[in-house]
Amino acid sequence: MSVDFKDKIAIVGAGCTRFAENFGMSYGDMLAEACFQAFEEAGVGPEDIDGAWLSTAFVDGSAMKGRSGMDLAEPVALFDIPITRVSNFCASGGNAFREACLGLLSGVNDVVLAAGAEKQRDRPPQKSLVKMMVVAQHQFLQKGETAAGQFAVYATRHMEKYGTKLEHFCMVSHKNHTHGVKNPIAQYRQEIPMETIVNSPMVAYPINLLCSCPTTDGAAAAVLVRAEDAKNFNKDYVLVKAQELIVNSGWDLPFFDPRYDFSHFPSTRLAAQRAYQMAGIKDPVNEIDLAEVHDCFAPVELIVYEDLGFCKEGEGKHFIEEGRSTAEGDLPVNISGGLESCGHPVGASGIRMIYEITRHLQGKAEERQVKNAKIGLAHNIGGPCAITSLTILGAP
Amino acid sequence: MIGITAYGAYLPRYRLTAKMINEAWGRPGGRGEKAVGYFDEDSLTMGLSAAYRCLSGDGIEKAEALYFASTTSPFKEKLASTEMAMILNLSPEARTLDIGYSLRSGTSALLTAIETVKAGSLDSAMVVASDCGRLEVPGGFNEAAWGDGAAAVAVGRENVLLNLLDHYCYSDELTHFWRRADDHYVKSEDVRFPQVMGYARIMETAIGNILKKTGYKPTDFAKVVVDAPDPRSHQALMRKFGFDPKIQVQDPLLGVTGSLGAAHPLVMLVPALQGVKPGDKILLASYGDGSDVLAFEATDAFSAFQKGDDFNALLGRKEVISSYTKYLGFKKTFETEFQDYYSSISALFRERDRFSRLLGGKCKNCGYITTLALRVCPSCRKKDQFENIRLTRRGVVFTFTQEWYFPSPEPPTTLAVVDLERGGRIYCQMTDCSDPGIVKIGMPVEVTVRKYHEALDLPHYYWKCKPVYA
Repeated sequence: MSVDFKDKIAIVGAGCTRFAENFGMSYGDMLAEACFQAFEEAGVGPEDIDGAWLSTAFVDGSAMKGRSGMDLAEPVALFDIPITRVSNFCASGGNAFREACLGLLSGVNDVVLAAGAEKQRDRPPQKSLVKMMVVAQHQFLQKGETAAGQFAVYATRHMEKYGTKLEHFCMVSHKNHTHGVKNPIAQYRQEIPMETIVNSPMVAYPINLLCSCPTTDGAAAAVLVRAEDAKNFNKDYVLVKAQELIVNSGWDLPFFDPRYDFSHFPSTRLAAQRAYQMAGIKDPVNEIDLAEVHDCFAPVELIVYEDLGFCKEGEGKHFIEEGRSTAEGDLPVNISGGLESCGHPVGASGIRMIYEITRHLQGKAEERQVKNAKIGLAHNIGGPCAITSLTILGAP
Repeated sequence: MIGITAYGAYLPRYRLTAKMINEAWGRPGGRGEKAVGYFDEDSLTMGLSAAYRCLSGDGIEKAEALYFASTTSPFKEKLASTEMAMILNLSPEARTLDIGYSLRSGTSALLTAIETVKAGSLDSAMVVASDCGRLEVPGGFNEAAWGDGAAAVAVGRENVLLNLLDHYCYSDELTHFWRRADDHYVKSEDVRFPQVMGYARIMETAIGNILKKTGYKPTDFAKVVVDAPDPRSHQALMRKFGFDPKIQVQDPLLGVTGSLGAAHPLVMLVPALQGVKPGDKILLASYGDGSDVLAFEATDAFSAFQKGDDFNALLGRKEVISSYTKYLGFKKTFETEFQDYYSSISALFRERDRFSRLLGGKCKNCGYITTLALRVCPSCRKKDQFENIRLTRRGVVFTFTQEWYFPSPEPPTTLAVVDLERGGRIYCQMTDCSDPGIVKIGMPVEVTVRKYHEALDLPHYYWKCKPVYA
């Protein structure tokens, strides 16, 4: 039996730090900033929270900060309540959000906090990209590969099977960087010419440097209550329409499993199918007003268009070519600038997306506001594409 | 009848020319080239490659012994032969022995194997001779002369191709080349003295004495396979006995592969056997701290023996390294980007069926084949149903990426998802592929063992795929 989230949970406060090289802020400093923003909007203090979930994917680059719920308690003064650390690769943030919802749905909790943080820039980017694959993982499996490579094998296959070109991936990056100009929390806020993106150095063929997200520090947070209590906290609340978390394989298995086709993401397809059913969405392109999707590397966004049913299988290249996912298109994707512009502090990204959608549904997204936004979708995929988190939010 | 039942040589893909070395050091001219092991090759991996070229499948696995001869074993303490026997899936009861320290060790290992079978202790043995990274100091006189290569010879009492007629061993203490226990580079002193009083004197004695011992005349041999430190010394020795350079003498390959150390006499044997007919006699002699001389006779089995891949084709599949600097990188002459790799000796041990032996797991319940160390079948979800099966080492690239930021002496590092011919999928690095442009989905590849890294100061060997070059 699946739990129906629809219209039962409300976001009453959301916060987000600048996503940047936050050399001046520690892991805890960033959490304090994001959480207190969310508290302020919800009209609560740390003493009002009765359950919390902390999302951090990797702790080896941040002096082990984030390894347990304690690392949220200390910087935010959140004491005497259950706090759980959630780690599920790039879906960590969405996963923490899901657990917070379940705490409310079960009746165990009344006012909960979902917070995510990742401190990546206390060491050089090269070390974060390569080191995890060398220092902390199996002595043979996937050896030689970086994070980019894990996704690149999908891009290569998509190109072969559907005739997608490297330029199509670059168009995704170009669009997202154009969007990012208007986002005050984004790490990169400049438009990058197509030619510069196409000619940027190769990282992991067919993914080049400007089709890759940077390494970034950041934190984001959301305060949630049951829908019936929402008005007591914030009249300008947002409702959860659906939340799905799918783990369809493992860390090594996808690469060694003869059943894998590498031209799409099975975890995202299944999550979309279930989430649309829960939210009652039949025609995603027309019913969804904006989507924040995982663009850690630009090809991922293009493939995800297909898996989320924004277009047919193999037609992601047309979806981007025709400009349908731009701010002016019929389904703006990554209006925040996406991970390409914001960066990807892994544990924070999922909640940053929820923060972004919340602001649009509240009509408070300023310059980048998507007009009449009523339904928004937040998507993360990670752990070589075996984990998808999908959250659909709606205006009340 | 006891003797050689199969043989194979292996040469690495890469070559360095004498001209490139001279250019790097500001010297004119330079003739010939040498075979150079890729950065992920060592004497153990090249030895395995030779073993696969000698025999396959059951042929390897039933060998009752593995003797490994090398002056460049990756280990000073620990048997390379035991690790190779494990990778080749020999029985744990197979006898393993490393024989080294001398350029003579290849023939010494062969003779030891034949005599062990002759003594009745064993029915079969595999002899692998391999040297990789036997180097003189960069810029030195012999830098262009010493290459990397390997050969494997199977020995037994059934289906014998070359019957050992007789042998003569000669030990002689004369300092020609040496390395002390902690030396990285090979040392030598005078040039002329060891040529005259070493090679010429010792080889004349050894070959002369086997002729005396057996009563054969020099003209009785169809092929004469004699190792040599340099072409001129070789020519002089052949002239001394009147061996016909056009018909009898096997070219010592010195400007082609370079001297391949302990492997050299056995590598030379492989081209020498092309065109050999039943009844032909072959003289094989090594040089190092004396000499081993072996006299063989080709049996009737030789006429039916089909060698799939000839030596000329092996020689032809080559590529000149793009620069001398890159060569120095391959040989770890200077420090490159260091990576502190993770490993665990207990994990290496418990996962050796999958990751060292390339045995797949086939689900007894549903037939799904895994190449991972799993207990529960991802397809039918039943527990503990995987049984080991041998996988093919040929496959096709299903998808790939090329990593430009992963530290490597020759970026990019290509990683490929490979579907093996008779089932099973692996994901591994591609090697022997200096042109990233040739990698395509659907390209045929061969799976081979290479060194990935040295976590825990221990060489880590695992599978890589490589292009099937025409």
